[in-house]
Formats: sequence, structure tokens, C-alpha cells
Amino acid sequence: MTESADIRIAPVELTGRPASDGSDASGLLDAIAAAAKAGADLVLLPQLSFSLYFPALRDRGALELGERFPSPRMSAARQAATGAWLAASAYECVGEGVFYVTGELGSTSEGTVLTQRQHHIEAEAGRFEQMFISPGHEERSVARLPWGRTAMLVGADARCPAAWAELGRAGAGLVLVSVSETADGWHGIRRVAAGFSTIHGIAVCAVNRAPAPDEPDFAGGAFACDATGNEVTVDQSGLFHLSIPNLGASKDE
Amino acid sequence: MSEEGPDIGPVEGVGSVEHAYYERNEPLTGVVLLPGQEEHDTGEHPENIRRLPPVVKRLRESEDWEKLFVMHPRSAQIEDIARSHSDAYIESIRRADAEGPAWLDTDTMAGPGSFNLALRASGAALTAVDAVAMEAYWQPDSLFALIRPPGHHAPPDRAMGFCLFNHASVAARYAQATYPVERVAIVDWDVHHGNGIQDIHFDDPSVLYVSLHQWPLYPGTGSVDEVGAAEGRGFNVNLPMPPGSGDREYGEAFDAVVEPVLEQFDPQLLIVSAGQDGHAADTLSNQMISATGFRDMAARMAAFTDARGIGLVVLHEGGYNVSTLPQLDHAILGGLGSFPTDLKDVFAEGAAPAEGWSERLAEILSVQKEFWPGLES
Repeated sequence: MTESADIRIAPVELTGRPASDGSDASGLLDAIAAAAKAGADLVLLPQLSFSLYFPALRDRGALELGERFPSPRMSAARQAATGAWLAASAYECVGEGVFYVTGELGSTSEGTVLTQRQHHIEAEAGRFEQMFISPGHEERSVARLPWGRTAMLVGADARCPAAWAELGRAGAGLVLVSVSETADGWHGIRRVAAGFSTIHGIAVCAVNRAPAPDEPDFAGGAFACDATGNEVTVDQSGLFHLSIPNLGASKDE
Repeated sequence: MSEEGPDIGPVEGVGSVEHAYYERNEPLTGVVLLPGQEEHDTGEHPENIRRLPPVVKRLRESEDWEKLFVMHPRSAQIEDIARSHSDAYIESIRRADAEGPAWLDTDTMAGPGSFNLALRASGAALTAVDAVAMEAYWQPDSLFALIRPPGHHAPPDRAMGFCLFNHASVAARYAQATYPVERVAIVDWDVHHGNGIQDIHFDDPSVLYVSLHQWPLYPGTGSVDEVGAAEGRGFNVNLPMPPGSGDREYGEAFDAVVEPVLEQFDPQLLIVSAGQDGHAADTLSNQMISATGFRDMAARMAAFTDARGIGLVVLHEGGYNVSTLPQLDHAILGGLGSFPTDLKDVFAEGAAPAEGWSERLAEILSVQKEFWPGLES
């Protein structure tokens, strides 16, 4: 018999745009705090959670936004999440000339339990992702958490069938998806996620970057499905309730 | 030999593609691959094991692969390296290999495997020299050695700027020691000045060094008035390109300085230190060179060597955006071999003229006219 555990996930479509005085101009931290207060076990943010979508601009000055990890902005967001877990992605600089978009899952009490760099770098016409982002190269990892084995897919990785298959083989019970997609791309990601959810028995929660001035026409939105691929809707507090199959339990014990 | 003529088969250990090369009408170019490049594992460093495999993958998956002359390198011998580096320095790299990993300067590391790989990378340059210099029926017109770590920053006595052994210098001196080659020209379009090549050959009139590099930028050398010393005075030609320079400025630099100086020097072998870190999407510079720009520079060098019937050896130096490097290296091979490749490059589109370029070019010409009287303003 497959064990399962429940989790409440708050998708937050906002992304952070620090004001010139360093304050939280977009209200992201307040939104994270509100989600945690509403009862979320986990708050999920879109790709490049703490900045404008600079890869759409051909401005090398954006390379200065790269942070050495642990990311100060990630830490501030975790603080805002109080006791809840936070899954978000930031622009990581590991040294001169090497930059990644890196997803992290963690909490203030447990620290970082999962790190996942974006592997696939794709750019549409007029966008410059390949200028700013190095492809990640580490094996995909799955973290064992109170509700089950959990993984992350960031950005274009969520469109990659091989990535989903890899996580399925690794026994992931929940995949958190953090993307920046236009309407067509978001539609495609939902279809891919639901399909692989059905094939591999994985619950999925995905969040897309909300529309914002000076950015490509991102569609925003959130999506979740249970481990049979059936779509789940948010409750009155904006939370997805998911039951996570612990498919890896028998392998581990 | 059969009655119909010579029996031409594959050349074991030299090229992997069976061709009747001697009958060709198109220029023959190719690559020297670097097996085991992952042995010099620098981890999360811009000069890392992930740079070259996508280049080779793109070439292998391309229809152009069948056009390429493919070679595998031998290792350089210590005496080959010792023509350009001190014995003590060579020994220090061997020690870092045995006892490391160790940081040899603030951004250059060596560890287990680095020494042998650096020898093999220099050996790839020598393999390319052999191939273009030997008079054999399969002789390619040019070869592009896909090697790492790069070499052009390494002076005689230390590692520097990701570089261990100075492959271009080692190849130039090997050619002079092995073949009837007296004059070698090295053209370096890596975005950083090749201070190592300059240092080694600063007083050497038999090796012309021409460098196009962003200035100011690391390593800080490469000003227009560093022209060489003693008998080598005039044989070190620096073209410090302003930040933001792209195809337009590099093309004008080739027209006004690089090609006229090469014409007058009349080399018997041309080596190109090909760093693609001046590309518009490279994170280590501010230049705006496009895929077309790299193809054009390669094609100009191939046209120059073709007109003289001399060999052309292209050595991979920098280039750190692993997403765009395959397209650029493919474009260079297209320029060398006169075949089309995909040149669409959104990163360099609409590049504005570089500020201060006209004045800089005038300054370069005024300095170089003393040594190369054929230059025109």
C-alpha cells in the first residue's frame, strides 16, 4: 500500500523588485507572509523570484544582479515565510563569468534542503537568456521532506520530458515548478505536467510569473494536479491541498 | 599501386574521414580534438570541462562533420614546451598535478590531470602544425585545435589567466625548429591581451604578434606603444579595441592594420589564437562581435594563407558562454572551409559604433607606421 501525506501549497505569482532604497517595492515579502499566515505549509514562487526578468533585456549590467549563495534575498523571503517552507529561484553567481538560475527549497529552521539549477536554457526571439544563464549540470535531486519526496523544476526544464522522467525514476512524489511563461508556454507546461503526473504518479504544483511592466508578456497563473493527473483548485485562502504519494518509501527502507 | 591509379584509403591515426583529398576543389579544414579534456577539472570556473563538449557535439551532429578533417593529438614533449617556458615553471605544473589541486594565481588552477592535459593541448597545436606544414597528399589547408586550457596569457615562468602552457608560442617555435619555417605570425583575437605571447616573443623578430583585444581589460597589458624590444622592435602589434567594438570595428582593424602588416611580414606559417570571448553574449567582456564577425575573421585569415600557400593553425583560446560557443566555433570552421553555417545572432544585432574607435585606430596607425610603412591613414 502506498503511503501518502497532505500538504498545503500557496502559489505566489509575484516577483520581487527591490526599490532604490532596498525596500520591497513589489510587495513580495508581504505576499509571502500573508500566504504563510493563511496556513500554507509551503510557499512557491516563480522563476527568478527576486528580480525583474532581466534576461529579456540585452543589458550586461544585469550580470551584476548575480548573488553568491546563500542568497540574501532568499534568506529574507524565508524569514517572511515564518514557519512555512519556501521554494523559489534566484540568480546565482559562482564566480566571474559563471551564472545560474538556481531553485532552492528550504525554511528558516531547516535551512536549504534542496538545490536545483536550471539545466535547459531557451530563448524566444528577442530574448537573451543564453547571454545571462549558464546551463546547470548537476544531477537532479529529490529531497525527503515531511510530506514526501520532493523535487523542483525551474524555467525551461519544466518543458523537458527527460527531466520529468528523471524525477519519476528518482521516486519524486511532488514536483514544484517555478516558471516564467507567456500564455502559450504556460498552456504547454500545464499539459506536460499533467501528462507526466499521470505517467509517473507525481503530484505537481506550478506557478508562473505574473504580468509586469517592462517584461515579456508573461501570463501568470498557478496550477496543481494530484498524483493521477487530476487538476486541483485552490481553496478560499488561495491554497492547493495535495496528497503526496510516498513512492520512494519502499526503495529507501 | 593498382593499374587505375594510387589506392587512396583512410589515413590511419591521422584523419578519420576517407577522402581523396588531393582532388579537392574546396579548401580543406578540420579539427584537432582533445580527448580527455575533462581531466583538467576546474569545477565552477568559467574555464571548465563544460566548454568544449557542446562544440564537438554540434559539429558531429552537423552535415559539415563529413567535410572536416578530424585529427587526434599527440602529447607535446617537455623539450617542445621548454622552447617557451622555463624548466622550473614546467616542473611547478608537474608538482601541482601530483600534489594539487593548487591555485597558481588568483584565477588559474591545476590539479591531478592538468599537466598531462596541458601537454596534450600543446601537442594538439603541434599536431596541427605538422598537418599543415608537411607536404602530404592529405595536407589540410587549415586546422582548428579545440583545446583547453587556453594558453596565451602564460608567460615563460608562471601560470596566468586560466593558462598553463602557451600553445601558440610552443607551436611557433616548434615549427621553426622542425620545418623550413623562419617567420611565424600569430594573430590573436581573444578579447584579452595575450601578454604571455607578447612576453615570450617581445625581442624576437622571427615571430610577429598581432593582438586585437578589449582595452582596458584584464590583464592590463596590450597598449599600442608596446611594440617589442631590441631586434623584436616593431614585431609586436597591439590593437587595443574600445569596449563595445563589434564586427564593424574588427573589420576595419583587419583592413587597416592586421592584413597590411601580415602582407609586409610575409610569414611562412600563420597561427591564430582564437578566443571567442569577444562575442556579444560572452560574460567576460563588453565586445559585440557576432557569429558573422568570427566567420569573417577566420575567412580573411584563410584567404591570406591560401594566397600564399602557407599553413594556417587556429588554436582555441577563450570563449566562456557555453550556450553560444558551439555556433561561433562552427562559424569559424565555416570561414576556414568556405561552407555556410548558421550565423543568426540576436545578441549582436544592431550593435552601435564603439565610442572612440576612430581616434584609437588613428593612434594605432601613427605608432605602427614607423615599422610598417605601407600602412595608410
